[in-house]
Amino acid sequence: MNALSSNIFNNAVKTVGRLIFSLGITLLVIGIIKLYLHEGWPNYIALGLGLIALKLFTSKLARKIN
Amino acid sequence: MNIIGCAKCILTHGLLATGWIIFFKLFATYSPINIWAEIDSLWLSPSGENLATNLVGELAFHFEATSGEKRVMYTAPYYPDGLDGTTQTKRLSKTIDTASWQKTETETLTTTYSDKQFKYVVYQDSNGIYMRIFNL
Repeated sequence: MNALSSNIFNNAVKTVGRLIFSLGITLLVIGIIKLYLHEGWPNYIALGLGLIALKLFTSKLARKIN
Repeated sequence: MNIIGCAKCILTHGLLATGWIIFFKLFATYSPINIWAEIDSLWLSPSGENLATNLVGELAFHFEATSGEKRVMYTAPYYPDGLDGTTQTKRLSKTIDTASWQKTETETLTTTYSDKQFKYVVYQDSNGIYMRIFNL
């Protein structure tokens, strides 16, 4: 039972990580399009890079703890 | 990672990104919070009457309507020959003279600003908030 709940938890964490990463990539792409259009691109690029960095940092931390 | 694994990964992230875009579109349609305006409003420093500079120092027009709707504009259409003439898109950071920028007229749904060269008319209607630039 413990192994099963741990597996479910690990999968949920992985899914959240993927969602954060994809949101970061999406915001980064929107930022690049906005850079071309001169429409307030820095916020999108900063948020995109921030989310990607957050995901990479937390997954590295999780790997160290495991 | 082999080529098939890489393609699968790109496809997964492409699908997830599409999902986020659909989520944002639905959120913008059905929620009173305009997520794009909220992102646009982050990290702005005030720089005059309804003016602000963003993270890289570019000037923006930051307007909050009476309904609470926010809008941050970096460009606006310019009508050199009046409303019936041709239009060009102007970048506000290259157009607005902050030293002479002032609010000149306020009506219920229209606010007018001017600087030494142009008149900036901000309209609020059911389509949202938008600006038009005219010669003085």
